Amino acid sequence: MSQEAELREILARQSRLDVVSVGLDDDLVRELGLDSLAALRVLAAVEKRFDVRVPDEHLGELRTLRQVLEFLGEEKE
Amino acid sequence: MDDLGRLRTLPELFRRNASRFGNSPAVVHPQSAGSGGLSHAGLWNDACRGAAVLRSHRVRPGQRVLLMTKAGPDWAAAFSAIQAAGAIAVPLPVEVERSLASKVAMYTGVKVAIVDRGYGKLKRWFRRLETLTPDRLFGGETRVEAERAPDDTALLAFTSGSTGRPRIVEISHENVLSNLRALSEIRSAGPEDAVLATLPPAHLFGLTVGLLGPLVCGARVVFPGPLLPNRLLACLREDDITLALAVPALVDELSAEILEELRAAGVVEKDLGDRDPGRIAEALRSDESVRRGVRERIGGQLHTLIVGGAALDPAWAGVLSQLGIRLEVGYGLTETSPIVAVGFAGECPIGSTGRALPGIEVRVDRDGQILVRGPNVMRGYFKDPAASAAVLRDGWLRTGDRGRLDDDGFLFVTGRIKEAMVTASGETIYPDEVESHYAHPLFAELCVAPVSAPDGNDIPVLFVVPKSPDLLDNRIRDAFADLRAAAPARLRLSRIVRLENPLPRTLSGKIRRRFVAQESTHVAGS
Repeated sequence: MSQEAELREILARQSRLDVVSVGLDDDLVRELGLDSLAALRVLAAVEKRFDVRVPDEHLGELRTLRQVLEFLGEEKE
Repeated sequence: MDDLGRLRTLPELFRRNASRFGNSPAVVHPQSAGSGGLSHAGLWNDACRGAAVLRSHRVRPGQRVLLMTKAGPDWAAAFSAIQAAGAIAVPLPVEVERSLASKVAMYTGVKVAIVDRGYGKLKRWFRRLETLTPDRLFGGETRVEAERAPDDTALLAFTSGSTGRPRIVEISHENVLSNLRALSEIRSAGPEDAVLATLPPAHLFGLTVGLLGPLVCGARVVFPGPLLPNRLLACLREDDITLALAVPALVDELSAEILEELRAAGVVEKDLGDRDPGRIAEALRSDESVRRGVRERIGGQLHTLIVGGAALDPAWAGVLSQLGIRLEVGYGLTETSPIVAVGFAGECPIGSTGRALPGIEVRVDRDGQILVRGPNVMRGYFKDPAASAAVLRDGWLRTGDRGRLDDDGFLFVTGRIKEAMVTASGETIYPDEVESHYAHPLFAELCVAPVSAPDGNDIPVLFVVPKSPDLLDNRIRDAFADLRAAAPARLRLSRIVRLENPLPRTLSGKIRRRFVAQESTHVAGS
């Protein structure tokens, strides 16, 4: 499964969003209305699934699927 | 803790901790963030050096200093430094909007602000202020220890409240110390304990219960950083946490781990969708090896979970007690520095928030309002004598909360006075008494809030978040009709509004009813 597909699966499990229609650049909190606890749950699931730790100062910056994917890409390098 | 009675001010408290607990850890980073931190002696040392730096920036005793840094060892040291300088701390959580922070700074006459490095964006808002980062605060060699009196103001606490307008509460040294003394009489923590401080110390609950209370006992305080559920769980395991302040993210993760273990053991089916605490408690009771498995998952040391703010479903107390974890409930507000009553689930009636702390009087007036008197009651609202006079009479604080006391002195908090709704028929009803009649398996969340009618009366409206976004409107309407028919006549609502997003809540989990009603008025009217 691609990273994007995995991310969408995480999002589906942690939210009530129709994840197929979520755009890569949609702001999960501001545009899609995810509450702050759900947003943290998504990031927690990302950390667990990909075995990464998002630096505290970057947590607020990961607001869209694309930003999370780019962060994961940088981690891999 | 027999020497607590002799302490008069916060600087004396930090000095006493340093001499009593010396080099044992006081405030530390979690293991996952590289651990490290400050000992009790180190905290006081930083405080005195920081006070000298503040003094060199012309901060005199009684002046206000804004403190807006991340929770952690630096926060604790900066707060102590402000106290050692004899100044007044104005703490604000880092998440507070810049424009609001700048308003608070101006209103309270702050000249110096302590902010994290990389807070350059604040410059625009704080251009009239001198800003200091923690590393500059603790770099000096000289030391300052100012003398203060017990009735002097120690901090100005900003409170947004779940209703009403924001206020700044003036808290004295004796206010805080009296609350710490009273708490130490009923809670037995010691140097062997480690506290997971999940709430910001910029709020009084986080300050007193999460930071100062544990420090007084010689316990170690761990500030976990961002509240990612997986990281909180890692703290429980790796930092040998014994007491934790419960926040939704932690409760959530704990229940997920419990379910995971139950599933792995084949005790519950895969899809225990609604996480029914009664069934979980029953499953745990009947199987010792599962209980052991869960304890291992959540770190074996946790013995107390402290719940402030919004009440945890009382049924969870049964689950936790199966795991040897005590659930501490309580009631407090910023104006009471903050704790009024405390109790342990299982030792007090279900729904109660325990008994008044020693030295604090609680009574309920004719309107059902909770009144509090004692050494923990604030000096008043800062620069607002009219607002202070409206809530303080003969030493009694009118809390704005509705509640009752039973014959054994147990306090039950039922809602906010200000949330009273006066309907067209002249009835006064409260959201909490209505809500209990409208719970339904199809609703994930619900609340009742008023929408203003053209005649000035309140129309109580039921707001529901359906369990599934696919749920059809007519099924919601049918459920509503059934609930309505079963409710007492005076609590029969005529309107229901469907919401797609979760209810807005405060940090501690209380529903912000005013916001619900404001944001969805147009939906209600349509």
